Amino acid sequence: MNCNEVKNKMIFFLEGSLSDSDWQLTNKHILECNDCKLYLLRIENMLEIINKQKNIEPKPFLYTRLLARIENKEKNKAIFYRKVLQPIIISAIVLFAIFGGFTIGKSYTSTSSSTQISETYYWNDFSQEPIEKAILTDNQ
Amino acid sequence: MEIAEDIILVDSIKNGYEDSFQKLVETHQNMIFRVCYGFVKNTEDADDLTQEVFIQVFKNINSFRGDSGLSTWMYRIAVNKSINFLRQQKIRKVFSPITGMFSNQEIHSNSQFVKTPEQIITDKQTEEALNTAIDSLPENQRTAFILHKYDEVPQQKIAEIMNLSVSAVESLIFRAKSNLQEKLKKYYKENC
Repeated sequence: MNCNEVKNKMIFFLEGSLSDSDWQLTNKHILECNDCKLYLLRIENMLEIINKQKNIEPKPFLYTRLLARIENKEKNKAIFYRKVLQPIIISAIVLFAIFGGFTIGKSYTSTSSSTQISETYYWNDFSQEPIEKAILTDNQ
Repeated sequence: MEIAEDIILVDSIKNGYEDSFQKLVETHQNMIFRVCYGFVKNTEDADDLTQEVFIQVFKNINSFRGDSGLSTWMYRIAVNKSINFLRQQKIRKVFSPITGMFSNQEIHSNSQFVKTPEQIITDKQTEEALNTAIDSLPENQRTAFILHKYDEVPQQKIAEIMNLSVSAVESLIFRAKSNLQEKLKKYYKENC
């Protein structure tokens, strides 16, 4: 077994997950090779760092801080609604009302004018009862 | 057994029992914190992410049907939150290199008072090299490695969390360790 092969098996050697024969060969090499011995110490140190990191705990009173955060989020939501969403919604309603008013107004004008045009266009004076006849009829 | 207990706990949270939510937080906070820390390597950020995970659990508790264990569901949320956080951090670093320089600087005070300044520097460098090596692993290898190493989650459960087969998880962990070893070998060759 050469140094490279041993170095590639170092984590597994330290974890004890090598087969018996591999473990024996690696162990034998490490005992004889100073470079690999040093590398073993370094990898051991690294695994030790992971073990230390594993023991780091969250700051105390996580639940209390969590509740405060949930409440804050709710408050922020309310503030966001009041300060941002509410004005947007009100402006949108006003704009919609204005635009709607214009649209309705426009459509109303256009219909009445078209009726007027058609009435004007189809107006036939002769088919109407002459005023004289009406006066005569009233007199009778 | 675990699932039956989970369902009872979840039901009582759904019914508005605050004590049950407190119990859930207190039972699971360390495991969630360890996973988040494994990804972000920063106590402040890990603490923040842990709270985010519980807020999401609280918000989405009604959608929990009990198909998988409660802890599996929470692990999934923690992994996704941590990965998203790292992605956002990467983007932030691209846009603000100065902020990025300071974001990962954290001093771990654990047992440093008994060490010489040189040892502290060496340890810090070693820790940074290790963190860099873990960070540079492909996402799925990193997730499997962190769950396996930082929280000692059994491979069967990692498989459930990652929606993979047990053999795929086994292979991911093996590759993660081999890659890590390769990166560290390179690091020592260049720096020692």
